[in-house]
Amino acid sequence: MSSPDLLEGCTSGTARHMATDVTIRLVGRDDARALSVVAAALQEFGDVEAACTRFDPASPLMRANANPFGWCAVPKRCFDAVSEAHRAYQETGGRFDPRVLGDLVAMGYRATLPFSGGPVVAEEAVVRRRLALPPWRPQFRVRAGTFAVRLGGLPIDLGGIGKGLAVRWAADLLAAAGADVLIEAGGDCMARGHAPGGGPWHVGVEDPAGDVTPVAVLGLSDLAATTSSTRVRHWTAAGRSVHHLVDPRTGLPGGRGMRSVTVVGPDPAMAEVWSKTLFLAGRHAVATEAEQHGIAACWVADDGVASFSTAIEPYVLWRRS
Amino acid sequence: MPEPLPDTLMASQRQVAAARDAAARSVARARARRRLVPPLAVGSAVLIGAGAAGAWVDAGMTSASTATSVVSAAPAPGSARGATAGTGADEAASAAADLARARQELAQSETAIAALGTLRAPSGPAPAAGSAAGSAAPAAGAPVASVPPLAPLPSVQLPAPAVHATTGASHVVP
Repeated sequence: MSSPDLLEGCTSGTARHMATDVTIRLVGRDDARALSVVAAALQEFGDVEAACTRFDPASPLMRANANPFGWCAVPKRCFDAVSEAHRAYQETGGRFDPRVLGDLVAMGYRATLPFSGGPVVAEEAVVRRRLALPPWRPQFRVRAGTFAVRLGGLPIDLGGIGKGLAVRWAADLLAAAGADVLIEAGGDCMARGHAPGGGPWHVGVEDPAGDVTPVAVLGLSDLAATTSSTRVRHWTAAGRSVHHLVDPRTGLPGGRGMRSVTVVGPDPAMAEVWSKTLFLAGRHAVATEAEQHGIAACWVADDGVASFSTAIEPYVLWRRS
Repeated sequence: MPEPLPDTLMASQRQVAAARDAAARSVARARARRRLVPPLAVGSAVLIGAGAAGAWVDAGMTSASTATSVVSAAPAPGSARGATAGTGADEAASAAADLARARQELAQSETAIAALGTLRAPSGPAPAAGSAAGSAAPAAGAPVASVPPLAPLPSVQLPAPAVHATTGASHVVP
């Protein structure tokens, strides 16, 4: 929860998109132009959701998913999102792979589940390990201003990168309105410039156990912070406790021994990708993965102990002992 | 032209000269010990307080042994060598007497040092004569008084600073 005193002097706007509240704060600008840009940035989230949601059978993504072997015309937002997802797949060596939609549906996550209403039990769910997937080779085509994708044989879920992309594109819109902006989108944050009064923006890292005291407080400027966590999106399927962070190698929930991973980086979309990738690495490999790739990360294991990579240390203002 | 001296007389003269040189060196050393030992005994009393007396006494015992071995290198009165030259034998005997007196004084100093060593540990057993080195130095393996460890200071957690936003699990809005 943010402190209202710290945000004095900000022009703020809030909208509900992607099943969460999105808030944008612009420092030192309260003119009509600034308000217009904030509104446009909020709408960006709506546009991305409309193009890329898997919860609407009529969305461009779901139409492409319905014909994964053929070409499908999609809006530019969907085209860009699938393209970015493929780039993330390549950069992580396949550890980020959006072709887990079938696994999520099998486990009962075929529609938005009431996660905020207490324990969730999915009906008609199957939790079964599958074989590893073949390499993902989607195709992209641009002709006379129209965009088309061919997914390569399996439907995809952009939930692991969609919100980060929306934050990125919204931040790009806001760059024209002012240098000091804070975007908060359901746990994903983008901090541009400086906070009111100067200095970096203070972003708390949530305790996945639900404690009101954060695990750490980060000082960010021109950086994003994204968290992959099982605190909210977990349910019971076929008598087993499962969550939404599926390991593409097995089709089952991954991240043994992990509760959450927070990644700091200049791009919110890749920060989201790496937060999930590091989570899936599991408790015994997350530190090595983070150090090998030079990722600024903070993670909380099953025992509640928070750990920090070398790269994130310069941004840690406070940590819980 | 005078006759050359016989070889035996020449050898005898050389031996007397060597004995005279050795005796002169021994007398000089004895005189130095008479000058240095008393002040050293007093100085050792000071060093006992600093815990260095044992090491000094060890060094003193070593030099005493060395002095004894040097003294024994001088020709003894009445030896075969000394009898061959009259004046050289008298000088050697005089040097030997000086050395004997120096040895006696050194032994007295060592006794005094041993007595001073008892001042360092009045509750302990009185040291035996000639065992200054053993009593002045602390016994090997003796327990040393240790300072009790300080209790650990309680850790103080500073409160978390206020934040502008929080990153965490996606907040699901129904």
